[in-house]
Amino acid sequence: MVAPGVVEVAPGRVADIDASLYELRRLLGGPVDDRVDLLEHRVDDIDRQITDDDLLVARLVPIFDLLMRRMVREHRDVLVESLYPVIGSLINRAVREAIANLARRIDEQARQATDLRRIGWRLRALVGGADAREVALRERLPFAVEEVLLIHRESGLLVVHEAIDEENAADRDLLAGMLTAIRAVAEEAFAADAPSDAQGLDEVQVGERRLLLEADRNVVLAVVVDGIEPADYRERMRNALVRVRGSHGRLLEHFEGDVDVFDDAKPLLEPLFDLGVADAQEPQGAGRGEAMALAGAALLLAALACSSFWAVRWTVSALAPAPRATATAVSTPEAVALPSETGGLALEVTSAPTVPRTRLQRVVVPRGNVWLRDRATSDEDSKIGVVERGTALQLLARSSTVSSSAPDAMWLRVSLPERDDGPSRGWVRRELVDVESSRVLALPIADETQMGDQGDQ
Amino acid sequence: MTNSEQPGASVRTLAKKVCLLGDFGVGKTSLVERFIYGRFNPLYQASIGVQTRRKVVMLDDLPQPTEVKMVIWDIAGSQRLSDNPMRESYLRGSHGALLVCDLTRRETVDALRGYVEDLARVKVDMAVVLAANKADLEAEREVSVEEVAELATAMDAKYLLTSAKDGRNVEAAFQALAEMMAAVS
Repeated sequence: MVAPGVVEVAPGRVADIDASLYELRRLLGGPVDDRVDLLEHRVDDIDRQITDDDLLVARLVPIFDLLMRRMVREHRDVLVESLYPVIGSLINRAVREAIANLARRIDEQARQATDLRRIGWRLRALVGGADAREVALRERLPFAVEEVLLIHRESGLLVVHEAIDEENAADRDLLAGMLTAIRAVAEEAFAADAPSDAQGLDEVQVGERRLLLEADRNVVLAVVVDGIEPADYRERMRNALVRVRGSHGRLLEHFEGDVDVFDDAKPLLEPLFDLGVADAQEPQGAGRGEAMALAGAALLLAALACSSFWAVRWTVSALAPAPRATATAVSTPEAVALPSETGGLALEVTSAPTVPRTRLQRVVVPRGNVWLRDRATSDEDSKIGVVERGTALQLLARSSTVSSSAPDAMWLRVSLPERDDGPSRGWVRRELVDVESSRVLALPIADETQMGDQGDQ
Repeated sequence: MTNSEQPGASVRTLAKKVCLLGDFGVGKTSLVERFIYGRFNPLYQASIGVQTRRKVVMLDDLPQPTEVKMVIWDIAGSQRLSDNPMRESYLRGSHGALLVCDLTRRETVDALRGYVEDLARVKVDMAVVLAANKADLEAEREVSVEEVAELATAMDAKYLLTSAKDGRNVEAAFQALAEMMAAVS
């Protein structure tokens, strides 16, 4: 029984019909199948391109390049208006900083012109035969970088930490966290008054130490310093930030607490430890007022010295009973008593007074006998002497080198106590010495004039 | 342990920011004190602003041994973000949160939903552990364990009954949080 509308086909013909249908479908659908295959292939290709970030960027960069060029050419005003909030604020900041630096220099010059201490330095340099600029520089140099911290801006987590003295720099994770909290409070508290481009907290002072802060979108660079930083130090900090961003920008953008990947960022921050002073030069054209004041003071002092000299000479000649052996007075300036032919004591003011003074300086103490080298390297021919264990050395600078003999070695530039023979300064390996940051080292003024020699770090 | 001392077993270091949230007096600071210093101070002193503490937790069970340096931000309760926008900057960048409630005060448990909303505004899918504290005061409980479990499920969080006083589950709560945070890194 066949249903109405259904054609009954003999079993032998079914195979023929199937073959015909297959042929018909091949003729009709062949090109379509090919196109479907092609489309599938293209869809896969597009999918690959949009899911692979690098490929996508590679494809889009030329398009954006063209787009930007056309925008600049045809819609310059729109572009300027769009970019102004970003670039304008940066320019504002740079100009403000330049003006602040200028104001600081003017203030400094005005202060120097009337600062009696500076007149004293000039006199001391004059009498001691030293360069006035070196003496002035030495007086202004109690600047040391103790630590550098790179902090993730959003989380407050410490990403990189470098310190001259690691033992006294524990728990910096907490410092990083609290700094972030303080920054947040300061920004929130002064948000209404601050200009739109304000970068937030610039500096925190704790006793004699200060934390200088520079921030970009992802990180905060904090440098713990003791003393007044050179005028260009902020610029050096910003350059360090740029270097870190250049090498680790993507890692910082997607920071999830993996701090190991930032180990190789440490060398990028090392230059911040260099103690070189860029504005070491004496301000030019200090002014006629200062020169006149200096000349007047010099004349006055000369007159006083002459009258004192003759008064003392007369008194001593009259009272002293007999010549004595050589003795050294420790008053200021240094005086040496010499036997005179007249039977009294003649006091002579030395041409280079060595007034004992103390200044806070980093002291480096070798744990054992260590090689002193003329450069920051472990090369055999760099050895210039041996520093004995326990000798107190003055820390001048710090440097790191990468060499085959001592990869990633840290070196300290040190000055030795005054001695007649052998070198007076050189480099020692950081791990062979202790750095005592709080020890006070007495420095004679005669030695101070050598401080200007830091350019070879 | 350094690589040179034990080749092949290098330790991965992760730094993670953890924030503690909960109403006043639920025992946030006490939990931190117990976790960091192993001590308990029965005298209540309200926290002001924020305090940071740090402890390193070692996770040996992961494919690579991992040291999680937890920097814990103990944020004074109990204002919400809407009341104090400053709190948002404290929460920003957090990788995990320990939500703390007091089992003897029902309102502190109810308030947790608000803190979860605050966290979601700062970061989605943050690792969260719920610490139902003062579990030692069983006679004074106002909230059952079942209710805490239900709340934790709704928050997609782990929960533990803790006591800063006797130390129960305090280490475990922070350890669980460390494991959750390490798993997503």
